[in-house]
Amino acid sequence: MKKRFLFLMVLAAAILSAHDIEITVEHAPPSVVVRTTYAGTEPAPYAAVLVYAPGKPDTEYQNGRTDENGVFSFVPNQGGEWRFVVDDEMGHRTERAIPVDLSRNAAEGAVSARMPLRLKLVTGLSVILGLTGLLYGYKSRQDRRTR
Amino acid sequence: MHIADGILSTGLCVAAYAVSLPAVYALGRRIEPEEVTRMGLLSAVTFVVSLIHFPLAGTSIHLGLYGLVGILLGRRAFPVIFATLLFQALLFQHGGLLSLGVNSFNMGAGSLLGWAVWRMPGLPDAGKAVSAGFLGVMIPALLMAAEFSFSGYGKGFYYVSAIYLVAATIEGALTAAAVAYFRRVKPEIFAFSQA
Repeated sequence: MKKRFLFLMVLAAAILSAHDIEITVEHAPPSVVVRTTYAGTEPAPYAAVLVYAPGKPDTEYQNGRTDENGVFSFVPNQGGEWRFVVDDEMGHRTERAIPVDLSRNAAEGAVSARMPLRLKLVTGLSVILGLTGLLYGYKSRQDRRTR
Repeated sequence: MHIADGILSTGLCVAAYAVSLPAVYALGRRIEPEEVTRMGLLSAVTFVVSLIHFPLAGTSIHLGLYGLVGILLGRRAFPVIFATLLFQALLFQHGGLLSLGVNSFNMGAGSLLGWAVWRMPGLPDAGKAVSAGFLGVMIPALLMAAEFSFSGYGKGFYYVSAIYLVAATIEGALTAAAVAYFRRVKPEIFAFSQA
């Protein structure tokens, strides 16, 4: 009986931790986008979000709820370590402090989202030379057959 | 020189495709295996060389080597330029997919005219090479200005195309240097485009 109880407790803990809320923060200047998920898979929709500015742990800078996709965004007024509290009011709550760097501008953000130039160059050359090889093989074979 | 999508009228882009696609087919059919490698290598060269930019008069220009491609590939230059522009549009956003027909027409025309000059008898190699390199840039620049004018942007782009005189001169010199080098190390390379 005791063993079964322990097993159930471990199982419950495993299930609960599997549904813990994870936060990822993306810089989208001038906004910061907070994405919330359950264990990195399903979004956490309509969860309550509290945002605390650096150095002001007791006063909410902003509050609100995530949208149906588990996304919440706000515009920070300073850089530093911002604290986020996400609570879905169904037993899942996460508190995280995440650094926000305001010196990163929109152009830098856009560049980081794109494929780097060197990678594009290597990809293009690989495709061109690869297709050349394939076409050469095909034409050589065709040429041998006709002779 | 690469015209992006959304600048020229759709009708003009479709009309350019109607010319470029049959040209790709007609000038690219019945390729011999040994032509394939040369076409692939020159496609790779033009793909990379377009990334070498020079700031000029508030804008930036880049090399194309369309004249040299015409000299070395002859009529096969057109399908090679089409394929290269396709990859440049997909990977570097140089030009666009809708304007691919227009860009291929412009640059392909420059390349083919360069080839025509190269085949003219009785002229020295250096003069032909400089002319081919020069026309390989200026013909696309003038065609681009005409297309802008046709799409209602006025005739100002004809003056803008004058910027390309500098690029065309550089390309002419580079083409002449490349031709002189190939004449010395691999003269048989020119037999291909003389046919």
